[in-house]
Amino acid sequence: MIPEAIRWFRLVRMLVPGVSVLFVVVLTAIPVGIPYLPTVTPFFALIAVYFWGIYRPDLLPIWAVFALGALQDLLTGAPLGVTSLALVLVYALAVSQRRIVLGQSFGVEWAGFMLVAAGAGIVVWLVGSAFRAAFLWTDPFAVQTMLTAALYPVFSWTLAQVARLAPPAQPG
Amino acid sequence: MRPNSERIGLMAAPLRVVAQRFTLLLFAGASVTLLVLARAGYPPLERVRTAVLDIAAPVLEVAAHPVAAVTDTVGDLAALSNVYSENLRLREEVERLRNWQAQARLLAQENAAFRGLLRAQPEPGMTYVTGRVIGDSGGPFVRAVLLNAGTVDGIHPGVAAVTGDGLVGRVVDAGRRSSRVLLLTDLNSRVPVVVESSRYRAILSGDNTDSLKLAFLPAPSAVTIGDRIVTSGHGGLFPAGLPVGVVTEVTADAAVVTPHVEFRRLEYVRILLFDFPRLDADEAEAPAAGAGAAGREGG
Repeated sequence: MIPEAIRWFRLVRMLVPGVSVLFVVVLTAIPVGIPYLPTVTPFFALIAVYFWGIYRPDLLPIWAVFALGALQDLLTGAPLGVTSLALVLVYALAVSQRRIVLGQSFGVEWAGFMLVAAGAGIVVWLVGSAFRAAFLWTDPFAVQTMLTAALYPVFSWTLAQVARLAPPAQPG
Repeated sequence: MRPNSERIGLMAAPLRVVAQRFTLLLFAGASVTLLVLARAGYPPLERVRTAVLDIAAPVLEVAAHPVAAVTDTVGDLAALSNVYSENLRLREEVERLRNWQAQARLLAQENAAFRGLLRAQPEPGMTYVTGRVIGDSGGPFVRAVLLNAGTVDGIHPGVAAVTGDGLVGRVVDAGRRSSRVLLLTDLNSRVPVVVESSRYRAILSGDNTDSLKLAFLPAPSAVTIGDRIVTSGHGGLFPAGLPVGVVTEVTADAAVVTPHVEFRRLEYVRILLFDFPRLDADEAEAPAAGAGAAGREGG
């Protein structure tokens, strides 16, 4: 009975990264009533996916990243697939570069995120423009990207606290 | 779970890289496929979209409450500082509007009398439902909001959304208890309008920025700054005469309209359920389905 409970508890703890991304996806869709914010809501999911891609990719599989991106598109009314694409690319990049970033200072991690956010901003703008067959107004994308990059320290610190809830990583 | 991860751990490094590349390609490809299907308006995908909206609407509604409480409090505190000047301004406005009310009553009576004399057809009846904004478009792609009212309330895609200030946009997706309103400022928004004073017709289009453009005017000189723009009722989606905005800029090739509605502060939106007179319901649908389909149905 007790080992069963521990097994379940462990399973729940393994869901922590996925649930944290789900939380920020829902957060993105909530109206806040602050002027200008809806159009430039920071790309919270990008922060979360980059963070988990570097620290615990074992607990956030790529299919979950894809599904959560699609959910954000469905909730916000963005072209379906554009957020999935950006998140999947960023996740793959984070996972492939994690060995380089892991031993370094936070500055390196943040700088890496700035590059990634800029790249994601461009991809999202290009795909969005192609989808709507018009060049979308670039200002909101630029502001969104800068806001997201600026918020990274606060969010990654919060996620680092959240990460303690997840089961410890296995060596290897 | 554990034996599996151990097996991956034992995998040769190059093999792991290949596996990673494969999954990346797979899911990037899936994203692009979604985009293509969404662009083509693949019907099952649209059904998934409305189903997800219906599931998410209660969650968003609950989640929006604490956020709304905080922003309301902040707004109240900010409003407190200019209560006095606001009060003076409102008094003046009330006085002005009383005059207008008296005039409107007079005109309504006069209008009814003239209609009687002319035996004009009565305007179709109009009812409305009010929805609360429970979701913003959280991105720079679309200008749209999510409402907590849907097909059970009689809402269907195409109907107009208004506030007390004027036209907001039109419903594009309708779930059972939720719907999405495309705002006037969206890139895809096109509304047939008339210039209130001169009765020139035009199409009002958005471009994802905060201002609207008037297209298909007979000439840019057909409007002047300060002209009011109202819906024309052409196309049968919106009732005629809904206030939309005011012309604020006229250049050589375009006129810019500033909408009455402050899109950033939308809280409650009314959906107008408007029975536009049609010759025949089937006939109205035929052009959308294509001439071939209509021919087959007829034969």
